[in-house]
Amino acid sequence: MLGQRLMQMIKDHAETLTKEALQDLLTNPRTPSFRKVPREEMQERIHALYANLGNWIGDPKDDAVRAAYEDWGRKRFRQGIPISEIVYTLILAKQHLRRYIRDHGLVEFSGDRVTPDELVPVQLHAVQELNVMVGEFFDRALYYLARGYEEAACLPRP
Amino acid sequence: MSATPLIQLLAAHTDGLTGQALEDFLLNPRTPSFRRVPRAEIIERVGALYRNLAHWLTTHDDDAVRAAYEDWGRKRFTQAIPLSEIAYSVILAKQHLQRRAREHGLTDLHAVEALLGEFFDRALYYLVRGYEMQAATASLEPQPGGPIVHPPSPR
Repeated sequence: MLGQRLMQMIKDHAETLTKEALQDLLTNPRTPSFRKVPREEMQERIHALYANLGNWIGDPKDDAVRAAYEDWGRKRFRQGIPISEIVYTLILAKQHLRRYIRDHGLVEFSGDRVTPDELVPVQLHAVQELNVMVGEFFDRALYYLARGYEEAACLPRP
Repeated sequence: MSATPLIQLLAAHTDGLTGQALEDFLLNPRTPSFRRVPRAEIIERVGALYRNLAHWLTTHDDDAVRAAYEDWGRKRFTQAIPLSEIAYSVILAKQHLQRRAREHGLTDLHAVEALLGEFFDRALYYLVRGYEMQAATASLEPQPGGPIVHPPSPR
């Protein structure tokens, strides 16, 4: 039940989150190489990241995360994006989501704007749990992304 | 939440956390290459990671984090440790600390996650940067079975 609500909350706001993260990605001095990736492709990728997270919270299986992020890592290697920029992209996406949870998560769970002091323990616990799950998801994504990148780097090139 | 409880936890548990993390690195199927790094070196490195975190919680000095983790990344490249294993070792070190924080009643998980997340994200980013810089310096081409390196030039 709680998982479903958390999942729905992220899915409902994936579009706004994607827009904000994409804007950051395209202007951040630590991710300059992404300016040469087509904007539509980036938008689709970031949206998928938030959608994947929402799905994973509802059904936390590792296989889907592995497949998606190893593939992303391989693709970015072939596009000539440095791995540090890809890692930073994930960090940015996570920061945007965390900020969103901090600013809006309490509203989603209480139905009205409240401060943490006003939340009942179960609501506070839900927001805390969401943050823990977000951290866990991004750790997995980062590991598999590095694996995929590595794998592509080791393949003989034409 | 102030950082003080976390700093106190680190001061009291760095050795125990280092021991647990070391054990994990040496047994975890996702970090097999660490078995060929001298044990004393890993202990020193993991202990330094927790001490660096305690220092950062007090000072928020980004330069110190950058210097320490870029250096770590460069060194691991020269030891031919795959980047995914290095990244996973940092994730493992974070998980051990998160578990310890929960066990010791640091119940404001939101604040703990935020503080730890910020530090470990920085550490990971600089570590990958250091690794990448060393790869560029070494001018190595990707080799099957070798460490990860720079991407191909854009076509």
